[in-house]
Parts: sequence; C-alpha cells; structure tokens
Amino acid sequence: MSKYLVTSDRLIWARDTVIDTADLEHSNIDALLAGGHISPHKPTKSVKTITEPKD
Amino acid sequence: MATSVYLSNPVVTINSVALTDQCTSATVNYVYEQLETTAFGDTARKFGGAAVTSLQNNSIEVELYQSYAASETEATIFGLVGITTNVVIAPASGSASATNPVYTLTGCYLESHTPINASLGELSTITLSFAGGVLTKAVA
Repeated sequence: MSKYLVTSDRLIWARDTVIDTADLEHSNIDALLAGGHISPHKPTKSVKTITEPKD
Repeated sequence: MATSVYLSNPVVTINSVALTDQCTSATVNYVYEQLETTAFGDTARKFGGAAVTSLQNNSIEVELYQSYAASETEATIFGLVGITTNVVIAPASGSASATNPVYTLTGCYLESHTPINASLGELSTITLSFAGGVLTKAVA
C-alpha cells in the first residue's frame, strides 16, 4: 500500500500528514499528485556507520 | 413557521480537495431514470413500480472561481477531466446530521473543463458538470 505526504492545506488531513491509498478511496490519486496536494512518501532510513574493527 | 434555505457556507469537496472558498454555486441532481410500465388495461400512464428499479442518473454542477495558484482550482481540476472521482457537498460545515445532510457522489465523471474563461474586468469562473455515479446521503 503506497503512502503519501499531504502537501496542501485543502485536504481534510493537515499538511505533512502521511496517508495511504486506503485514505484516498474513490479519489483519483494521480490528479492529487499532479495538483500538488500530495506527494509520494518515502520514509528515510537511518544510516548505520560501519566501522572497521581495529587490529 | 416555514423555513427557507440560505446557503452561505456550504462545503464543497472535489476529489477530496476542499474548494468551498472558490465555489459560488452548487447543484445536486438526484435522478432515477423514468421507465414506463404502462400495460394493456391501464387507463393512465404508469412509471416505475415496486418491482421496477431503474438506473440512477445523477449529476452535480458547481461554479468555481478560477485560480492558477498552487493547490487551487486549476491544479485540482485539470487532472480530473476524462476520469471518475468523488464530489461531496453539504449545506454547512460540521458533521453530518438530519439538518446538515452530506451528499456524496461517488464515481462521477468530469467530461470537460474550460481552463480559460475570462473577460476583461471580470473574475474568471468555471462551471463543472460531474455526471453519473452513485449518490448517497449521510445524516449521521
């Protein structure tokens, strides 16, 4: 299930809320994306630093 | 005392986008197509009946101010032409109730849009007709 970030003040969800496809049932997601109301949400993963063991 | 409806702050949502502040007119048409069931022996025309269910043929018309700014009218509407969406209209903001019924037209089709409809010295407006779809009325 895709997740989207609300990027507009015109949706029922507050800006910066993360919603998913089920929240947008019966709505056209492509049109919302094109209109700038939502954008694909890509969760950021923390990067683990790998350190070489010292001899 | 009789009451009348004065719509000053209805809620208009198109494709989940609130466009109330751009809207100046809204019409919800709830229609079941008229099927004739007149038969021999009848003395008057008859339509429909307990065993005859016709198709809904609903539509919603709205008039909006045009705006090309981000997240406004044009950005919301342009991508909806030729596809189906949902439109929600209620007489007033707030939750659905018997005195504030919320009408939702699900799966309605927007055939056309006029991105530019402007005259000198006048605010640009657009009129949209959403056709088809199932109309539901929520009162709670």
